[in-house]
Amino acid sequence: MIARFDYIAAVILFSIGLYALVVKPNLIKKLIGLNIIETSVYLFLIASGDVRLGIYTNQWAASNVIDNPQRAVQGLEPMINPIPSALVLTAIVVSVCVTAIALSVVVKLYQHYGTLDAREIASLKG
Amino acid sequence: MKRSVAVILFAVFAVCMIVVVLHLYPVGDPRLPGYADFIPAEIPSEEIPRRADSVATYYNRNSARDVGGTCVIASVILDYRGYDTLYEATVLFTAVIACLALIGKDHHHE
Amino acid sequence: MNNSLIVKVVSQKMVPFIIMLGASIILHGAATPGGGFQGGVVIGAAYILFALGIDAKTARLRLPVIKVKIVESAGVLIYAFTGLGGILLGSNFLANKIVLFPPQGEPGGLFGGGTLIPITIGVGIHVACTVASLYYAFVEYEGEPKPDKETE
Repeated sequence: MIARFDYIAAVILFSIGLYALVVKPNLIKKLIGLNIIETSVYLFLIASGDVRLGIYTNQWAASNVIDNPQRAVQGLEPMINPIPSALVLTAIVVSVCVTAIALSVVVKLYQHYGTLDAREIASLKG
Repeated sequence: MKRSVAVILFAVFAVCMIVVVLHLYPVGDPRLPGYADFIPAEIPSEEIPRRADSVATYYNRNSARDVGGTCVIASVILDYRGYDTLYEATVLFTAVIACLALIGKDHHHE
Repeated sequence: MNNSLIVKVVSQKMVPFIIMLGASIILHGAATPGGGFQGGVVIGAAYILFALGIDAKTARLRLPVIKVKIVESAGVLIYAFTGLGGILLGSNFLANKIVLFPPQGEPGGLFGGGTLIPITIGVGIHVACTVASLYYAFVEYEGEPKPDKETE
């Protein structure tokens, strides 16, 4: 349970974000929920590429990753997987784009309908 | 009433996902598919699929030689996957243009 | 804007230091964690702080929108032309070590990455101007005149 704490935190964040995305009628709150979901996905991806020293051996725990990059390059020291981190960097930028466009659409919706409530907007016409 | 039903529904959803997640390997386990290259001696080697030739291992060991930067992640996103980052900048540019087209103000007539 | 004097003065005095932090993050993108996107966001946040401290129109006089758009496009073009350097020297797009363009420094140093440094600077400029122009777009939006209800 403790060893998988990052995954569990990601799942809880995902549930909170999905709750906000589905239940809340306010469009801004829906966007906040979407961002929380994205954050949980980042957490899950980075945790899946992480190195946790000392889970298995004491000798592994005693090794230091950062102080000796030469040994890490030679494969003698653990290094984290760089690919999830790189993908998350890409995903953050895409999330910023999605949030910006969605916010501008919300601004236009508010200016047109005069409300941010999704139920009212769905019930109104034109 | 409605809100409590929704809260219970999403709590059940979270519990289901937690049950799934508890079946994964722990964080930092070398048997994880996202794990890079280091294999401790305590784990029998037949449990570990061949990871020594994975692309993450290649990046970790050769990025200093191929690219020259010491930050492996910067080497990956800017050199090995440089097209990705170029088009990512293009995506950001397009998003800004879309925002300006939606809510932007015309500054040419000032 | 009727900000208090403390808010005005502190927000103006903090801006150069935040921009220095962002430039440091951008320039060390090849050697340490960080890079163009992160440093660019820091610089853009410095500009937003500057514009929030004083009036938005006064801030717009200091950094006009047209210039922001031009510099923003220039950031992506720096990236693209850095990649074109590889083609001009007879290799692939975005080639780095093969053609030795730009000249390589010591690995781990500031210019150790070859093309990493110009690419990082270009991305940083681009992201900083993107944040500033998004701020402009959301702050200056005044809305359109309401359409006539009677025409339906």
